[in-house]
Amino acid sequence: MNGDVSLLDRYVDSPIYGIAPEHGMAIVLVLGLAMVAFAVRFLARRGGRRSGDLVSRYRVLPSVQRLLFSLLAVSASMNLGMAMGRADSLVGEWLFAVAIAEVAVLRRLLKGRSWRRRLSVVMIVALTVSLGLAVAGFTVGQIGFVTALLEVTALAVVLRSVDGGRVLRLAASLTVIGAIGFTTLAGWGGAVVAGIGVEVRWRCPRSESSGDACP
Amino acid sequence: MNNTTHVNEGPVAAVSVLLFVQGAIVVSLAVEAVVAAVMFGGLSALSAALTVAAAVVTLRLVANLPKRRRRTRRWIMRFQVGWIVFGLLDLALALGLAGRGLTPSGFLVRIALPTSIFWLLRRPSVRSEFEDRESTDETEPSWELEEAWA
Repeated sequence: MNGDVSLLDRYVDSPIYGIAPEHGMAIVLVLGLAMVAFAVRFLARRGGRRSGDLVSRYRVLPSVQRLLFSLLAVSASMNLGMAMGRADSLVGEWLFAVAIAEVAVLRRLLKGRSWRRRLSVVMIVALTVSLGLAVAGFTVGQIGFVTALLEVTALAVVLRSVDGGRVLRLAASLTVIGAIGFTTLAGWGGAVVAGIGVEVRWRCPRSESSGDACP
Repeated sequence: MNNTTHVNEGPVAAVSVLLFVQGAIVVSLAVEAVVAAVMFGGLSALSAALTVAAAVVTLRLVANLPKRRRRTRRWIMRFQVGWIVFGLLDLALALGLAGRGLTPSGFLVRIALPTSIFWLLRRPSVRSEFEDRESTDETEPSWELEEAWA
């Protein structure tokens, strides 16, 4: 099967179009996050003090910051879920650190403290390392790809309000377009690098462990 | 810095961010489609032409958003409906031919993102902003591409 595989086949069959088994926990955590959000809202309506405080802090945020809040909450949950799936590796520790950093920015946003510079640093570093990992052949998969898109959107929120001259604002606009382009390119490149071998490992792990060729 | 800033951060600003991200995604798709058209030719050239046209329309809509014209709002909403229809068509084809649904990123880009933009633009507060204002708000931050495209 691995003998004569064209570049196109390697791309189309790539794990970039699937959900890696080790990323399943990310979906569970995002669903859990939605349930927590509903529970907090419900408790706030019932007069819960802490949940009421949280909801009132959220409601005073302008629309753009509410959007950012949602993006960061989902992105942090996904990073945490992916970290749990790779707990025994350096990549897992890195994803855990990104999730913690995103939660820290989220907290500052809710408390009304400065968050723009910190968010920019966290997003740029997280995206750069993610893209590097993808190109190096680590399986990004759909969950990693979606997380990167959410992080680029969060970065766009900060870059939109860049205060400065025409050149600075043009650079901000091009950074967003470039970040999306590089995310796609890294997905594409990573798909070819990871190739059919990873796809085979996903589909028939027993065959691999026993050394048999995948049917 | 606290939450109160000098810039407009209302729902239209959120639409501006989402629409710009959508435009950036379509630009990436257009580049990908052009590369595919060069490599494989045939029908992929038509697909590339459509994607490039979609990228131009999206950036044009982003450029016109700060002017808050009712016509722009309507065109953005129509464009989002088009995205959702194509997304659902893609989903139907994927289910019918390949027996599997959209990928999470496909769902995010083709269904969730256009639905969010459409939903934000339908809100009465946003609608009233487009009805009341016909000129550009000087205090509103804008993507620099807006000036070039407007």
